[in-house]
Amino acid sequence: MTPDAASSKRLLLAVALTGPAVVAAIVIIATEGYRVIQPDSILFTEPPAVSFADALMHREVEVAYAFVHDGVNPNAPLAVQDAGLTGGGSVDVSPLMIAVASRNRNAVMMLLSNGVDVDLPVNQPAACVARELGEGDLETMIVRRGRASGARPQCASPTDGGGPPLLRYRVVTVPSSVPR
Amino acid sequence: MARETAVALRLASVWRALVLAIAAPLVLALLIVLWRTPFPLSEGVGLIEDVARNTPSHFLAADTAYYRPLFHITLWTMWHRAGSVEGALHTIKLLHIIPVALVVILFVWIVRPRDAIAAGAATLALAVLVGAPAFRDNLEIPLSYTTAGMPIGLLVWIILEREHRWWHGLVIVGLLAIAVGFKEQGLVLVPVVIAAWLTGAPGVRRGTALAVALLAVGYVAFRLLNRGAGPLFEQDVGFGFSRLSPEQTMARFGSFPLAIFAYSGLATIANVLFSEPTAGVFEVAAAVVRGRPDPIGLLNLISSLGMTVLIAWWVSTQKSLRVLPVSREAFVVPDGRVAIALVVSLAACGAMSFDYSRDRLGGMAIVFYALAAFHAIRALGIRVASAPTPRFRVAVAGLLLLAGAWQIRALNTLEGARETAFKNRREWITGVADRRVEFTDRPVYLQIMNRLEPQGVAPDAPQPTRYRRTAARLIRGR
Repeated sequence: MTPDAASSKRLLLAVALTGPAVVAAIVIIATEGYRVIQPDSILFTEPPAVSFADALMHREVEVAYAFVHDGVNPNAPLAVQDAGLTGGGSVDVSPLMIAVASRNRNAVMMLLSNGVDVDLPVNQPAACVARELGEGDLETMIVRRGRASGARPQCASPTDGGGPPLLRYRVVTVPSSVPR
Repeated sequence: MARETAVALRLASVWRALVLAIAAPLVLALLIVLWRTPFPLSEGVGLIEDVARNTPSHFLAADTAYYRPLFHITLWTMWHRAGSVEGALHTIKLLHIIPVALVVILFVWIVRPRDAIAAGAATLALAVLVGAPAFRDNLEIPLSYTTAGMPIGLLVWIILEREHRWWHGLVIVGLLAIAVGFKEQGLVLVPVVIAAWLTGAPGVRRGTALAVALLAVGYVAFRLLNRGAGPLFEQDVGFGFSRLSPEQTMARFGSFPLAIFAYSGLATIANVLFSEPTAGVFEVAAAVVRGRPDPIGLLNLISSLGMTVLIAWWVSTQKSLRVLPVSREAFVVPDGRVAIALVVSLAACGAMSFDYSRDRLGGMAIVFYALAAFHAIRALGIRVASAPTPRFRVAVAGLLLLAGAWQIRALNTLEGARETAFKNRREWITGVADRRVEFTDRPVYLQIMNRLEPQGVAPDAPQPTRYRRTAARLIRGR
C-alpha cells in the first residue's frame, strides 16, 4: 500500500467515526438556534388553546395552566358547547366540572392545586359527576379538598333524568361574583 | 528530539480541542437544560426538608439503607449558608452540573487523541459515555450521588496512570472517601485501585492499595454493624418481564434471596454492556414478544451489543492480559489496565446493586466502559486501515453505522433531560394540592414546597423538542 493510499484510508476512517458526531452537533446548533429565534414554534411548544374550556377538554395540562397562570379565575363558570359533554348545547359550568366530565385527571389536579374552591356551589357537583363517571380517584381527590374533610357528598338528584352529566349536574343559578 | 516532542504535544492539543469542539454543542445544550430544569417536587422537596430539619450530625448516623453523609452535609451547607432560596437552588444545581461537565473534560483529557483515527475514536467513545443509560439515569437533579463519583473515578484513574508522587496515596484515599461519602457506589473504586496496583500502574504503591482496602473493610463493617432493622428488599425489584413490589419479592424469594440478589447484580452489569434489561426488566425483549418492538430500545440494544463485542475483541487482543496473574510487569501497557478496570468495576457495580437493579447503579463502571470503547475503536481503526480494500469498506460502513447509532443515543440523552424537566414542571402544576392535604403534619415540608413552587411552575422550563415521525421515534422513543 502506498503512503497516499494509507493516508486516505485513515482519513476516511476518521470521517466515518467523526461524521455522525459532526452531524449531531449541526442538528443541535440548528435546533437550539431556532429555539432562540422562534421559541413559540410548534417544534418547541404546544400551540395555545382557543379557550380555557377547550384546553380543559382536549389539551395537555400545561396549556390549561397557562390560562390560570395568566390570571384566569379557575372558579368562574365557562360557557361550554361540546357534542359529548353537553349534547351539543351551550351550558355554563365551572372549569372543575369540565375537567372532571372530560376525565382529564391532570387538569383536575392542576385546578385543585391552583385556587379552586370545591365548596363553592359551582364546584360542588364535581364530585358527583366524578362518581357517576366511575372516576373514584377523582372523586376522592375533590372530596379531600372540601371543608367537610373527606365526607362523601350527598349527590342531589340531577337536574333532569338523562343526557350528558354536565347538563344534568349544572348549577342553574350562578353567582354573579365568584371569589377566586 | 525536544522539538519533535513539542510538536507532538501541540498536535495532541489540537486533536483534543477538536474532539471537545465537536462535543461542545451537545454537552453545552445538556448543561443548559440541567441548569434550567425545575427542582422535582417528589424527592427534591423531601431532600431539602431533611436538611432543613436536621443538624449535620444527623446524617452521620448509619442506621439507614441510604447512607450518603457527605452528600447530605454538602446539601445542608448549601441550603443553610445561601443567602436566598434561589441562591441555594443554584448552588445545589451546580453540584450536579459541574461533575457532568468534568466527566466529559476529564474523559477527553485521559484519551488524549494524537491522530485522526484516535480523534474519531474519542468522539464515538464520548457518545458511548453520554448515550449510555448508566450516565443518563444519573442526570436527575438534585440526586448527584453518583454523578459526583464518576469524575472522581476518572481523576483517580489519571493519578494511577501517572508517574508516582508522594501525595498520590493521600489524594486517592481522599477522593475515594468523597465518592463513598456521596454514595456507596464509590466503593467501586476500591477494586479498581487494587487492580491497578496489582497490574503495575505507575501512580500507586502498596501502601495506598492497602489503605483503600482497609478503608473499604472498615466502611463495610461499620455499615453492617449499624444497619438497623430495615426490610430485606427496600425497593421494587425487576425480574424477567415485570417488576415486583418489595412484598412480592419477599414472598417469592425471601426464603432464598441469593438467587434474586445474583439476578439483580447481573442485570446491572448487563445494562452497562447491552442496555438491557432496564432496572431488571427485559423491556426491549418484552416489546418484541408483544409484537410491538420499540425502535429506540432496539437501537440501544444493537448498538450496545456492537460496542461490547468490539470491546471483547479488543480485550482478546491484549497479549498482556493472557499472562494474568503470573507477572505484574506484564501489565505495563495502560490499555490492558483499562480492560481490567472495566471488568472489576462492572463486577463491583453488580455486587453493589444486589438488592435491586437500576440503570444509574452502573454509573461508576460506565466511565471505564467508555474508556475501553475508545481503545477498542482505535485498535480496530488501526487494524482496518491496513486491511485489503473490500474488508476496509465493510469495516468503515460498520463503524459509520455504529457511530451514527451512538450519536442518536447521545441526542436521546439530551431529549431525556428535557423530558425530565418537563415532567418536573408538570408535577409542580398538578401535584401540589395532594401534598397540601397529605403533609398537613409536616409544616417544614409545606413551607419549602411553597417556597420552591414558583421555580417549579415557571413557564421557561425546558420542553422536549417535538421531532416528527422517524426522528421522533428514534430520538424521543415515540
